[in-house]
Amino acid sequence: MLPYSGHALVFFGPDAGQNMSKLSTAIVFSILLTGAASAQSVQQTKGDFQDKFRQLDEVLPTPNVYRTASGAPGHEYWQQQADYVIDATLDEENRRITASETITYTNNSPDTLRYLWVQLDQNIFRTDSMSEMAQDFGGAGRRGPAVSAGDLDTPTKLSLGELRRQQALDDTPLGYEIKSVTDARGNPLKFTIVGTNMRVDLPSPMKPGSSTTLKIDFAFNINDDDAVSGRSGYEHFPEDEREGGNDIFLLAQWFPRMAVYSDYEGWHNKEFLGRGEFTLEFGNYTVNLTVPDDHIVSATGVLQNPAQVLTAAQRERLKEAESAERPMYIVTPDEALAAESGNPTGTKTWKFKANNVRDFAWASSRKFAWDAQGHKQPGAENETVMAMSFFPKEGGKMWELYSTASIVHTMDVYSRFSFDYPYPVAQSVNGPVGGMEYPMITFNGPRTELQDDGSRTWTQSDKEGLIGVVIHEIGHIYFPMTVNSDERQWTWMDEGINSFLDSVAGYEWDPNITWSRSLPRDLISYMTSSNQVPIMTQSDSILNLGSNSYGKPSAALHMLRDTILGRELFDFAFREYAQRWKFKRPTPSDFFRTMEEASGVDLDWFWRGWFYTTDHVDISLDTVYQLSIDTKDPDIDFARRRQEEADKPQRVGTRLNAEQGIVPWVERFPDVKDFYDENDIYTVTNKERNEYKAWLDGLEDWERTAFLRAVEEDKNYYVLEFSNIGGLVMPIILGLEFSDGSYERVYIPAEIWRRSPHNVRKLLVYDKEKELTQVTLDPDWETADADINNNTFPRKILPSRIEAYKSTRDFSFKRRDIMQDIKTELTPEETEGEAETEGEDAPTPAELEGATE
Amino acid sequence: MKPMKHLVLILLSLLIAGTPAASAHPRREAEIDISFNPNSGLTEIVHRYRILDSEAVVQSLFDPSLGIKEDPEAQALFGEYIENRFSLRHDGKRVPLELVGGEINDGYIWIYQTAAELPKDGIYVLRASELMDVHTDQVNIVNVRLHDQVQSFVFSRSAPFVTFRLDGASVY
Repeated sequence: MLPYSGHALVFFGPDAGQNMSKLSTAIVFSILLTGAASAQSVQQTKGDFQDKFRQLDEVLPTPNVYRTASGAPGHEYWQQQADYVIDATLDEENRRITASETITYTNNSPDTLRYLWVQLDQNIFRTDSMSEMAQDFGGAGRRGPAVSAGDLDTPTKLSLGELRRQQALDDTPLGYEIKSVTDARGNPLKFTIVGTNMRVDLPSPMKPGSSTTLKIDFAFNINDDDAVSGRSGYEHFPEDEREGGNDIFLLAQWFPRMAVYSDYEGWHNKEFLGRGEFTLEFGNYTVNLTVPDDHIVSATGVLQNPAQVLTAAQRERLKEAESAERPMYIVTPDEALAAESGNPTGTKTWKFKANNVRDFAWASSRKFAWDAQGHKQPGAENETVMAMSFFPKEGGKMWELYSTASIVHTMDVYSRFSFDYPYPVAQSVNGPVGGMEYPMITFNGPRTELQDDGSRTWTQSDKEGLIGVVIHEIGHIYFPMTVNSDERQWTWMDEGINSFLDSVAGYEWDPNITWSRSLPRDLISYMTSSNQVPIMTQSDSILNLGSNSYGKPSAALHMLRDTILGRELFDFAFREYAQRWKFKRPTPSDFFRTMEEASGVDLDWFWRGWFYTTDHVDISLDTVYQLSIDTKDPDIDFARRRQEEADKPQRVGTRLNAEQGIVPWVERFPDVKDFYDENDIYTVTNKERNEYKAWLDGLEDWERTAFLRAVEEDKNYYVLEFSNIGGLVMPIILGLEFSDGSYERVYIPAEIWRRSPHNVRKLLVYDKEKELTQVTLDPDWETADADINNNTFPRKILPSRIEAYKSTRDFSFKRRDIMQDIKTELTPEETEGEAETEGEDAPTPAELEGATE
Repeated sequence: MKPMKHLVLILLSLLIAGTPAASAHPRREAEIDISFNPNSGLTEIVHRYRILDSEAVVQSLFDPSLGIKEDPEAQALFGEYIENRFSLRHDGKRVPLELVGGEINDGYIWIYQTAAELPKDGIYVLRASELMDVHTDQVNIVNVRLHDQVQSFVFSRSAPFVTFRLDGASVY
C-alpha cells in the first residue's frame, strides 16, 4: 500500500453532469487554443512552452528530385564516377612512393563543370599545412604528442615525442610532389593547389554526361607513423634480425583522389584537418604495386596475377582456404619469420582490381603472415568472400585466433542488418595504425607481448580490444565504404551507426564481454556535462569526439531499437536505409526520413532531442497518489469517511493529556451526553438515502451503468506525476510492484510530453486486489536517465556508487585471482613425522576424495 | 624586440606502439565525476576508465605481463597510479583525497576517492593527467557537480590543469 492515500478525488459530485460538461468544454477550448498557436508561427514568442515535437521539416533540407521526402534517393538521383588506373612503386630503402595515375572522371550531374577538385590528403603532413599552422599550442583538440603552454608561474612543456615529431618533419619533407597534371593526350592542365585540395582547370567545360581524363604523376615520402602519426605510414622494427631491421608499410589516402561533387553541396572541398575523415566517389580501380620481391601485399581488390607474385604452395593454400571451415595459413608464421631475416633480390608487381569502391588502400611488408577463410553468402553477388588477415610475429597467436574469425562474424551480423557483404575480399592488417578502414581492407593495432622466455602472451583486454577493433573497422566497409556518408562533414553518420552495429555484433560474439561506451547507461556522465555540442556538428568542430560521435549516436540507436520502436520495426527500417543507400550518398536527413517512413513512427522528437540538442534525460517520478471513488451511497461513503477519520493519528495534545491523567469533562460528568454523542456526523439518515436514490434516478442509463459497475468493481486508481528535469523527452518506462507479489512493466510513449513538456500525469487502474506497493522509473536503465534518486516511489535512499562499493567490496571478485591461484602447486602430502608435529590427524586431500587406494 | 623567454620543460614521453593520434576507432576518453553526497557528508570522486587503456598503462609503467581484468595487483597499481595523476588544490593547499578502492564493472575500471566537503569559496586547481603519460591522445572529462551546477572540464596532454571556482565565476 502506498503512503499517499489521502487524495480522495471525487469523480461524481451532486452536480456531476454539470462538471462533466464543464470538463468537456475545457478540453475543447484547450484543443482550439493549441491548434491556433501551432498554426500561427514557427516561433514561440509567448510563454515558456517548448514544442519538443515540432516537426523537423523546418530544419531538414527541402525534398527534391534527387532526395525524396521519404528519405530515398529521388528519381533523378545522380552521383559522379571516378575510375583509376595507378602504377605505384614502393622504394623501401627511402620509404617513398612514386606513382602515376590516370583518372577517368564522368560527370553524371546535370551541371556543366569548368574545373575539377582533387583531394591531396598527404599535404596535411606539410609543415605549412592548415592543420599544422592552425594548431593551438597547448590548446584544445590539438593532435599529436604532448605540449603544454605555460605562463609566468608554470613552465611551458614539450614532450620528447613532440621533439621527435618536429625533427622528423625537419628531416623528411612530407606531402605530395605533384610532378605533372595532363589530359589524356599529355597536354599540361593548369592546376592550383589549395592546401589539401587541388583545382584542375579544364580546357573546355565538361558537359553533363561527358567524361574526361586526368593523368597525374606524383611522389611523396612516407611518414614514420611513430613520429608523425596519421592514418597511414610506416613502422620500423629495428630489432628484427635483418640488418637494418624491417618495416610495415600502410598506404592510405595516398594518391590524389577526385573530390566529391554532389547535389547538396557541390564540390566537397573542405580542407583536411585530420579529424573529419573523407568521402569519395565510387569507381573502378586497376592498381599495380611494385614492391620488393620478398614482400607480401594486402590491398583493396582482388589480386590479378597470383602466378607472378605467389608461390605455387601459396596459391594452392589460397584455393583450399576458399572452402575452409576455419582460417588457414597462406603464409605461415614460420615462413614470415624466415622472410624477416632475408633480403629482396628485386621487385615484383602485384596487380589488383577493385570494382565500385570509393577508395583504395594497401599494406606491404616481408613481416606478414597471412591467413584466410572463405565466407559463404549463398545467393549473393559475391558468394564466397575471402576473409583474410596479415600480421607480423608481434601479432602472434592472438591474431591467428581472433582476427579472421572476427571478420567472418562481422559479415554475418552486419549483412543481417543491411545487405550481403558487397565485395569479394575483407581484410584485417596489423601495423602502426590503431584502427582505420578502407574498402575491403582495414588496419588494426592490438598486439601480443613478448615475455622473457620468448613466448608471446596477451591479456583478456588485448583480446577484447582486437575483436572489438576488427569488428568495428570491418563494419566500416558497410558504413561508410558502401553506404557512402560523408565523414568529413558528419562523423556520427558512420562512426555512430557503426558503433551501434559493432556493439550488436560484439554482444553476439560473447555477451559476457562488456563492450563499453555504446549503451545509454554509458553516456550519462557525458550527456550531463556542460562542455558538449550536439551530435549534428561538423566533424572538425566536435568536442569530445568519442562520446559525441561514437557513443551518443550508438546509445540513441540502441534505445530506438530495443525500447522505442522495438526490434521488428527498427530492423526493417534500418535495413531499408542501408539498402536504399547502398553505393549511394546519404545525408542525415535521408537517414532520419527513412527511419520514420519505413517504421511508420513519427520520430522527429527523437532526432530533435538526441541529435540537435545537448539536453539530457532526467525524468523524475514526483509523486503517486491513490484515488478512491465516492460511491454516493451514504451507507458506504459515510462509513468509509468515519473510518478514515478514525485512522488519523491521535492528536498529540489529547495523548499528552491522557498521559498526565487529565480526564475529559464529558467522561467525568457523563450526564452531559446527548443525542450527538451517540450519533456522529457520519450517521446516515433516510434523507441521505433518498437523495442518493434521486441522484441515481437522475442519471442517464449509460451513466448509471458505468457508475454502478465502477462502484462494484472498486478498482484501484493511481495518478503518477512526472517532471522532466533533463529536457529530453523520452518514453516513461515503469516497473510496478503489487501487494500480491506480481510485477508489471508499463511503457508510456514519449508523446505524453507533447503538450506539456515539463510536467505530466498518468492514471493507472488496477483490480481491487492489485494494490501498488512500489513504482520504479526506468527500472532497466534503458533511457540514460541521469538521476536515479528521483526514479522511485515511495522514495528509496539509494547508495551512491561509492557507498554501494563500500558495502559490497568484501565480496568483490578481487578476492579470487584465479589466473594467479591456478598456478599454485598442490601442497605435498605430509610425512608421518610432520603430521605428528602438527598434532593433527587430518585426512589428506586424496583421502577426502576417497581415493586412498 | 627581444622575445621573452619561457622556461621550457622537456617531458619524458613514453610512447607505445599502436597508439596513434589519428584513428577511426574511438579516441581514449575517461570520465570523472565529482559530487557531494549529503548522506555521508563526503565529496565523492568517481573515475571511469576504459579497461584496455588502463591496462596499457600498468603494462607500460609497471609490468608488461599484467592484465588488469584478472590481476588484483594490476588494479591496485592502477589505483595508486590514479592517486598520483589526479589531484585537487584549494587556495594553494592540497585537498586530501582518500582512495576508497576500485572495481571492474560494465566494461570499465572504476576508481573511487572521497574528500571532505569542499568549501564553496576560494580557488581550486584540478589536475587530471591520468593515462596521458602513456596515451598521447587521452582526454579526461571531469564533471564537477556541486552547488546545483555542473562544470565540465576537458583535460588533455596539452591542458592537464584547470583553475576554477565552485560557483562558476571566472577566476581572473
